[in-house]
Amino acid sequence: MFILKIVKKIIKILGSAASPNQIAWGFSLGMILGLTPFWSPHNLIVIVLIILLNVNIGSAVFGWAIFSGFAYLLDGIFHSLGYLLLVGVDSLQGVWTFFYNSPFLALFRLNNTVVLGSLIIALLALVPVVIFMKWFVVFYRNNLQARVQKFKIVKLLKGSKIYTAYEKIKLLGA
Amino acid sequence: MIRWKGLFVIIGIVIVVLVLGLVFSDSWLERKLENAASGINGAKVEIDDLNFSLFTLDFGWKRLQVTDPGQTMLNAFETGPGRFNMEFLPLLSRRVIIENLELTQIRTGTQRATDGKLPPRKKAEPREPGFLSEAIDKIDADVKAKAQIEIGDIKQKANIDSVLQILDIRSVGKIDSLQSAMAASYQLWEEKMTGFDPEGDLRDIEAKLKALDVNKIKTVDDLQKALTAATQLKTDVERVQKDAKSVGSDLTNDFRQIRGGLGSVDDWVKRDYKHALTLAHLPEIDAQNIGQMIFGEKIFSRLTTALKYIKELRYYAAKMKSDKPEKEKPARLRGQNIAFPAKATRPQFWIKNVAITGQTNAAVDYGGTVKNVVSDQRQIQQATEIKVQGSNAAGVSLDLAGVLDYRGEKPAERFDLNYTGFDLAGTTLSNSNFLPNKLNRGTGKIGAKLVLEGKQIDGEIDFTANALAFDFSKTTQPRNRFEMIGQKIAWANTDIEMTGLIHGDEDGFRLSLRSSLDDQIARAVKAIAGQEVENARRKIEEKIDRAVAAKRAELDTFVKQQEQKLRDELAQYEAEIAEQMKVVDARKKEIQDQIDAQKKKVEKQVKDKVKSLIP
Repeated sequence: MFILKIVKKIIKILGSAASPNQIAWGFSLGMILGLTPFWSPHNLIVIVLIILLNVNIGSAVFGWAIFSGFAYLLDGIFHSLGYLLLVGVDSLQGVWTFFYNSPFLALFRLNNTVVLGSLIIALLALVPVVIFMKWFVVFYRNNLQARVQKFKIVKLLKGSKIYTAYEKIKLLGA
Repeated sequence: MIRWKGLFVIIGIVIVVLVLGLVFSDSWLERKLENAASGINGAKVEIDDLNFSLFTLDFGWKRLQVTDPGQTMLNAFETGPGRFNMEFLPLLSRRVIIENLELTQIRTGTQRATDGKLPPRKKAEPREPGFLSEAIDKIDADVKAKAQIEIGDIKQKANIDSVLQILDIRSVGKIDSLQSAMAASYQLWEEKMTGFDPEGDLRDIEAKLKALDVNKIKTVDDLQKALTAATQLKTDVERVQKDAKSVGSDLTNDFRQIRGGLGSVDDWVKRDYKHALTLAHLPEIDAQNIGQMIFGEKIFSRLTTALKYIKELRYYAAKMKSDKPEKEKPARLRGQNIAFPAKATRPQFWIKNVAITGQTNAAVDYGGTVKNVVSDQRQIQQATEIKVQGSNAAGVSLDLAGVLDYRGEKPAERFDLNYTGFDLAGTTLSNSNFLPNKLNRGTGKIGAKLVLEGKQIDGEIDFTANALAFDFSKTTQPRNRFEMIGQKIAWANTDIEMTGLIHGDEDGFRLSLRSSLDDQIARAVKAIAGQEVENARRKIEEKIDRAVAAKRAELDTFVKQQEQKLRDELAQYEAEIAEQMKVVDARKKEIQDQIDAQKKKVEKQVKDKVKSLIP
């Protein structure tokens, strides 16, 4: 049922009134939340941006959920990249020392291998993901949306027979 | 572009967080602190009634319990009310700076109401065993091994005659092997001397000398040539002489090495004595063993506990100091924190002063300070200092001083403890069957010093116990005379003095613990069993000496003969060379004289010619 929820959510987001830009930026900011350890101060900034900027919050939540799974798998790469940048590159030592010893900046925990490694990867991926998502939303709406709406499974979901039944059972179970 | 409703949402969230923080911060922080501290301690750490003020950054609690990870129904220590205050500005750069931490009513070894064991969790990656880990393991192993020694009885039917019959005196075979090895070395030298053959060279020189017949040389030019040839011959003789000296020097060095093997003979004989005494079951009363049996576990377990804490301190101090920390394997999504301390900034963690008050188990009220508990001492250029003093009306006094210095290349720690007049009643001792297990009465005095520097440990502990009464209620009946002696002496002693020493470095560790009780027991045992043991010992040693003496004499003679033979040969060569040198010198002089005579003769002829030409 979780899968159905996800599919329904995707279709709903893609077919919503939100612009491709809003969906793409929401998804990308959600990606930062998902890839980096959630309880990091920079994520507070990301959350504030998601709430304040007129991005699609649903796609942000969706991006966060999807990339949380990736983060779990990529943890070793984040750690290695962070360690390399923090310890292996002598020319960056001054930068890290400045971050580590400066008020406020120190709170961002950039001396942690996973925080730094994942944040770097998330920031590097930000613009490509925005561009890709924008293209995908436009492509979907122009070429796929009409066909997808005709899928039986989508009709069922839209009719909410299964989903409504599931919701009822879930409520009864609770 | 801006979602203005979102601004209100954020303001709402901030207000909710602040309200919840004010209401629940104490219990949330208490749980967080307990979890973090329990993880470090390896057993439960519990804080009762934590009180935290978000605005003043004041922390306080009513009770703190730190479970002993080794015995989870006991607290390693607990405190009464405590409080500290954090500086605000350093928190913005994730630095915890505490001016003063007050810990009151500290007590150690208190009973817990519940088990302080933590649920099993994934074991951390084992660290590479360092110097202190090895020291702790070795001390533990040594103490345990010595605590298990039981003293045997001389009347274990040691049959000296049967031992002598089966005794395999290994020294004899070893001396034979040594002699064979020496013979091979001398043989090599003989071959070397044969190959050396300076006589051939000397014969050549002699023949060339003979060819230089002064009487047959008429002209000065020929004489000059002869002189040059003679000088060359002298150089040849000197070369041979130098070779002979070099051979002589090598010979002396090799003899010294070969003779070195003779030094082992005494050690082999001693080993044969020891082996035979073991077979005969003759008791060797090692006074140190008894001291360690009674007090060893008690004293050294405290030492190893201290070393375990020092090991942890060194680990974290080194981690903070390391410019390029080793890559770790942290838990998933946790990462590894790398420190980047700057010299001009304050350290990551710094408690400037810890004020402590408490009471020992012997009801001594004490107070003191621990200064500069800090993440990296290099940043404040000060070591951590511990000073605790206390006393009570009964005359018990406590004085502990310690310095933990991690500023330099080598970590260094130093502790001095003086604890006098404390009550020993109820103190548990050894687990031996025949020695006392417990003290019913007594007072003690301890003076201890422990110094660690890098990979070196030196420690000394002086312990004096007075007015003692041992508890033998749980000991078994003595099984033999030695056990009986042990009991009697322990019964009779009311004062014991004891000295424990530890020395260790990369090459190894040495522990020793001597007590006045040891010497008394050893003396008593020797007095009772002395003659019997001595006779048996002498008999064994005589037998070994007799067997070895002939072989040893044979070896000595062999060595002398071989050396003399080779030295004589070399001396003969040296004499021949010296003789040849004399002959060469004489011939050179003869030629020189002839040259001089010829020169004079020519001069005279010239003068006469000149005179005849002048009218």
